[in-house]
This record gives sequence, C-alpha cells and structure tokens, in this order.
Amino acid sequence: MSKAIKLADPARARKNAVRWSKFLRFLPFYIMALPGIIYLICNNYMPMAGIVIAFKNLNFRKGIFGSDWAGLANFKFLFASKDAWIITRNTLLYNAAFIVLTTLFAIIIAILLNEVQQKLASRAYQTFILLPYLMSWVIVNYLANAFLAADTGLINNSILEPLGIKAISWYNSKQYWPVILTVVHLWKSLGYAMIIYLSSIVGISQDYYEAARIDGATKWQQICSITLPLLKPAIITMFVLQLGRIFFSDFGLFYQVTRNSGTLYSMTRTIDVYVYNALMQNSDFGMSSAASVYQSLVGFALIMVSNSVIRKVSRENALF
Amino acid sequence: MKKLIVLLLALAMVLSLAACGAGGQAEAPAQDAPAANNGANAGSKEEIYEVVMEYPTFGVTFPDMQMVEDAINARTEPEIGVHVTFYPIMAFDLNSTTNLMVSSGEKLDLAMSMFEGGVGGYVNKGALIELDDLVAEYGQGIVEAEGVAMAGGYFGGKLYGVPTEEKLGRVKTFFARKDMVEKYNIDYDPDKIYTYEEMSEIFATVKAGEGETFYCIGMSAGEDPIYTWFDPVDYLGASMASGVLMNYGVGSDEIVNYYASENFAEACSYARQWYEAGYLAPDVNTVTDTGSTQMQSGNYFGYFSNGEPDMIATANTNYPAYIGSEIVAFKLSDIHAVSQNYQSTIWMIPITCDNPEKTMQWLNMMYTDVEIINLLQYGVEGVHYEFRGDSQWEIQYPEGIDGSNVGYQSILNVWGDKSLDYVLPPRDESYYQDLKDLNASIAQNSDALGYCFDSEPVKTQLAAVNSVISEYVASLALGVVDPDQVIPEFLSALEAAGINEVIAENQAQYDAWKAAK
Repeated sequence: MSKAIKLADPARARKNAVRWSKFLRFLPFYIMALPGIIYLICNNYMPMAGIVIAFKNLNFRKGIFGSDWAGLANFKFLFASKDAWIITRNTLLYNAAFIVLTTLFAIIIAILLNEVQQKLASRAYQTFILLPYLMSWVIVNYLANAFLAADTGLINNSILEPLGIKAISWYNSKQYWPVILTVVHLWKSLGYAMIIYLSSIVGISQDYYEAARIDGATKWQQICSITLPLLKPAIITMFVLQLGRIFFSDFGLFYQVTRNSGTLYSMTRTIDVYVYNALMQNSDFGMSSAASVYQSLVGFALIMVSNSVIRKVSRENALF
Repeated sequence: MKKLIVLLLALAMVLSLAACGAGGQAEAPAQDAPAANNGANAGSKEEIYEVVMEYPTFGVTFPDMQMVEDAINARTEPEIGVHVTFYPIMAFDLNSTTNLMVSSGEKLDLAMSMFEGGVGGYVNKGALIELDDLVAEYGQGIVEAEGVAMAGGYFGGKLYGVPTEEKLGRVKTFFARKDMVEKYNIDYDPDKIYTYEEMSEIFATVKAGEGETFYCIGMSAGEDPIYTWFDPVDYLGASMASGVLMNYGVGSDEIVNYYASENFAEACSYARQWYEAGYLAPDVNTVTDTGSTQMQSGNYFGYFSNGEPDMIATANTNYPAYIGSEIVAFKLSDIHAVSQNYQSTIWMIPITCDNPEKTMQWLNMMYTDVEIINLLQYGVEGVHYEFRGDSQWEIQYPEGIDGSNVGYQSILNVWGDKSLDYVLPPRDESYYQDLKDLNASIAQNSDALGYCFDSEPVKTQLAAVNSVISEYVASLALGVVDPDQVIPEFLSALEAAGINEVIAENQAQYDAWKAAK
C-alpha cells in the first residue's frame, strides 16, 4: 500500500530521492565520524547504566543490578542538614562569577595578545598566561599558602607589617575568601579560556580589518564592530558549555586552596566538598552517585533552558 | 533527527561525569575466575592455590621483593599448597583499590584495611566472607596470637577480619624534647598522669623561655585533636559521630554525645587558652604536616603520641638525629583496652576469594610461623639481615648494608603476630619482656570489647553529622575560635543533622548486643 502511495505521490518520491542522495554524499563524513561515535557510545553512554547505583543499596555480592532498591534514600543526605542552602548558594554563585569574569578577562587578554605584533613576545606571553593552568591544585595550595600563612606568609610579613597593619589570620577569616578564591581561579584558568578566544580571533579574515582601516576606523571601532561580533558564536558556545557544569565546583580550588579550613565553610563550602566530607568515612557508592546524578540533572536542565533562551534571542547562535 | 542527536550529545556531556564514578564497577563479581597458578609451575601441581594478597607500601617497593616472595613460596607450596602473590598498593589507596577489585570481580584473596575504623564499610557492601567457621577450623594460631584483640574484627556479632595487634593496650602521652625538659627543670615523673592544667604550666614555662616563634605543640588538623589525648572514651568500633562510652567503656552502659559533655567543653577552653598564648601555631587548623614532622623543624617542644615502651624506644632512636635530643613521654592516660585499638590494621578475605580455606591456612601461617613472619618483615636471612652472635631473636644488617640500601624490608609492619618479629638494634630481647609486661598491665578491658556499631540504618544522618563535625571540630579543638560562642552553635548543628537519632540507634544496637552476649 505504501508503495502505491509513493508512486501516486511523485513529490514525496523526489524528496526521498534527494534525502538519499544527500545521505550518500555525506556518507564519507559519517564513516569518518564513526570511530568517534562508537567511542562516545562506549565511553559516555554504556556506563550511564551505572546511574542506577544512585537508587540502590549497593551490595557487591548481588551486583549493581541485583542490589536492593533504595528509592530516593541516597539523595536525602544532600538535604539533611541546614547547610543544603549554603552549599547550593556557594556553588552557584561562585561558578556564575567565575563564568562571567573568566569570559570577560579571557576576551580582553585575547584581543590584547592579538595586537602584539612581535611573534616571539606574543608566544612568550601566551605561555606565561597558560602556565598556571597546567599546575596541580596541590601546588597552587602551597603557592597560595606562601602568601597567606599567618606567621610566615608574604602578605602578613612583607606587606601588612611594614604598613603597620595587624597581621590577619587568613585561613580563619571568611570574609576575604570570595575575593581570594576568585583571584586564584582567574589566575589559574584564564590561560586556557584565552587560548580558545585567541584562536577564534586569529581565524577572523584580515580583509575585514583592512577594509575598516581604509575607511578610517580606529582600533577601538575595529574591536567593537568586527572582532566582538565575529567572536559571538564562540562566546555563546563556551558560555553554554560552562553553564552545564555550573553545579560542579572545582574540588581542588575549594578544598585545597582553603586547606579545608572549617571556619571558612559558610563562605567556601560547595557541593563537591560537602560530599567529600560527608562520605569520606564510609565511602558509600550509592550516596556519592546520588550526589553526581543530582548535579548532572541540574546541569542538564540549565543547558536546556539557556539554549532555548538563546534560540529565542538569536536563532543561528543556539547550540541546537 | 538532528535535534535528537544533539539532545543526546548534550545529555551525554553532562552525565558522563556522573557515570564516571560508577563506570569502574562491573555487574557481578566473577565467581568463576580461574584460580590460575603462576606460569612457573603451571600444569605440574594443580592443587596449588594462588593467594593474591594486598601488600601495603608507602609508594616504594623494594627490589628484592620477588626474592622474598619466592622464599615464602618455597615453604608454602609444599606445606599448605598455597602460592602467595604480593599485590603492592599505596597504604592510602587500600580502601579504594579493595572496593574496586572486589566490585569488579578481580582476583583478590587477602585484603588489608588500615585506619578505617573496622570492617563495617566493607560488610555493608557485602564485600567480605565471614570468618567464624574458618578461624575455628584453620585459624587457631591466629586466635592464640591475638587474644582479646580479635574484638577489632567483629561486626554485627560475626567475625570478618583479623587484626594484627601485638600490643593489647594503648597509653596516651605527650612526647617532649628531653633537652628542654632538663633546661627548664621541669618536674618529670614517668608514672604520673598529667592533666590539662599541669601541661599548661609546663607549656607556659617553655614558651616564656623560647619566645615568639617557638611553639609548644606540633599538631595538624588531620590528626587526632587535643581532646582525644586526654579523654578516656570508647568509640564503640565507630567514631565520636555516633556516640561514645566514657571511662574506656568500663562500668557504664550509657552511650553519650561526647561533644555535649563537660570534658569537651573543658578541652576546648584549654585549647583556646593554648592557642591564644601561642603554644599552638597560628595556622594550626590548616597545617598539613603531622606533629612528628613539625618536631623535626626544631621549632616545637613536643607532640601527642601513643607512648607504649616500643613507641618511646623508636622515637628515641630517631629524634637525636633530627633534633639533637631524646624525648620524654608525659603520660596522659592509663593503659586501656578498647575496640578501636584493634581496628587499625585488619586482614580480611573478600568474596572474590575462591578458596577461603587455603587462604585462611596461609593467614594462620602468618600468625604462627616465625620464619614466614620475619621473611615478610625483614627479608631473607644472610641477604637482608643476620643474627647478632648466638641470639635467636636479635638481628642486624649484614656488613655494608644499612636501612638506606637494604634490598628488602617492610616499611609497614602488618604481618601477623608481631610479637614474633626479630629485633634490630637498638632493641634487644628485653623488647619481648616489655611487651608482655605491657599486655599484663591492662587493668580492665572495655565492656564493649567486640561490639561494633552498624551505621547502615542511620547513614543519612551520620553523613550529615560527619559533615558538621568536619566544619567545626578542627577549629574548636585547636582553639582557633572562641568555644563559648561556637560550641552552642556546633551542638545545635549536630542535633539538626540528627546526632541524637544516630546515638539512639547505637544504644539500641549496643543493648541488644549486650543482652545476647
């Protein structure tokens, strides 16, 4: 019967033929993508079955799928204490601040670096700015400690003391930490974000700038009217990607750099640090999985929402 | 279609991390993993069972480990039909490695738990085999060697692990520099038990003499806080988060919230006094070096440590080289016997073991056979050590070898009955007598010996309580914050997190255990 309809509907038949030829034309690309897709399925989709652990009382004897169901009991501890609000607030606010500031500063530095004419100097600056990104948080912890230690730290010893200001016990004064953490985060992560923007800027055709210069545009006008608009897709992509991770805090930053100081918790404790402290002693797989499933779902929801907002505002820039 | 794919990609992106944590665990432990022999003797002796045992290290494995393994197998293969294979693991990774190996069904026959507060975490995941029958049949040597220390391996009334304790009691002390104790004419009495007030006076004298940048107590946030060194409590096989018995569990059945006790308030007020007077370093609650490491900088008067005779002897061997002085131990408690003493190192047989009988026979050998124990600890006679004169127990390094270049030595001594270890200088045979005296000097064991709290029914509350403790205790117990202000806040946070439910559950379990005993 369907055949009869197809024959009777030449328009649809043509459409199918077009689709088929399109598929054939792109077939090489699909084949090229195949290893990547297989990898993605193996690495990202198959293990996803493990999410059931979050809803189980894991028992090795019974295996993951044979273990008893626990319902939502594993999620309870996240909301069990009065700190639930504080850790959620800290996680979201810090990450929001990090996303905005990193994007802003990374773009500024990328544009500035792009204007450096000397090849060698430009390369050297790039390397210096990227270097902190490659450091382990444990090392950053000690670097920060060299500044902040109460008795031997640089700030207390060499800056505050000569100025006649009383030494500050940094690791026990929570009011300074939003600033300290932001500075440390920017110092460490700027290099990487900057590279991404720089590569986009380098990819912008020189013809635009040449035309603008001939028309007498200043540097500032060139940046505002050429660089930034052409950078928009990259900015939006990066932004949405980071938004998906907004509920995952950088454990190294919030645990190592604060040296896990309890007095700072109300300002510095994020979900990951809370989970670590709560489950350190009994390494409960169910509860740790529950925590990351919760984080993932919030991240997923945020990506969907932000993308649909972007789609409303400027359709061609939406991720999907 | 495109939309769907992209949607799935986005989902994958955010979920991949969630799945990461779970990805390592296969479905069910492979029960049919072949008990393969090493290639060396494949075919000829089929009855030989390979025992894969965890071998805790601090990251270094000695070059002659294979030689020791071979020497052990030369004994075990003909005698009990067991081929022993070491599986070296960093001590800090033991827990995660064991969990991973067991959950993915990898071959592991003998697992070690270090400083995890007992076997409960493994039992609740169904990772361990019960040992009661096995020990009764094959492990009598273990029971004889460990005695009351076997209490550390019980959970829910059943035996799941075998401790490696040669010392049945613990003494809490403060190790102080001997040169300074003499310099300031501090009255030192080795048998006296010192109180907070008396220690305060000593610290005051030393601090006044040494000045600003000298601290009296070396301590880090990760170590047992000050109050644990003064307070006689039984953790009931868990931690303070689930309540304690006071007076080392002698004579009282009431499980209490230690943090709400007078003792804790007193401890915090002294800690505050010490912090403000500069006996403690200003950043003490974030320092990561242990007290004994800080001591080596020469800027500290002393640190808290367990102070049984052998601990003091070891400290006195090491410290003259570090700081140019021996140490003296100010006693802070009587010798006591509580379950937590016996939970520091425990051997366990996980469900991935196919032949628990043979594994238990090997374990029994580790607790009874002097040659095997010392092979594990000191290596091969004539290569890694030799006897001093005619002694059967005193050993030394052979000519040209010392602790720095010996081909094998176990850094962590977790091998069976340690009272059968040979002794290196400066220890001599008097070590064995000291050990016996120490064990005989325990006046009374805790009533709760062998009881272990099962936190499973209240794990949500316990996780929240632990999180509250991690927020407050380090700063309170080290005097960084004002206890009058913070303790009430801390206690209400504990209650909000559900510590009373946890303690009630603990009390109910304890009463049931006591009734059944």
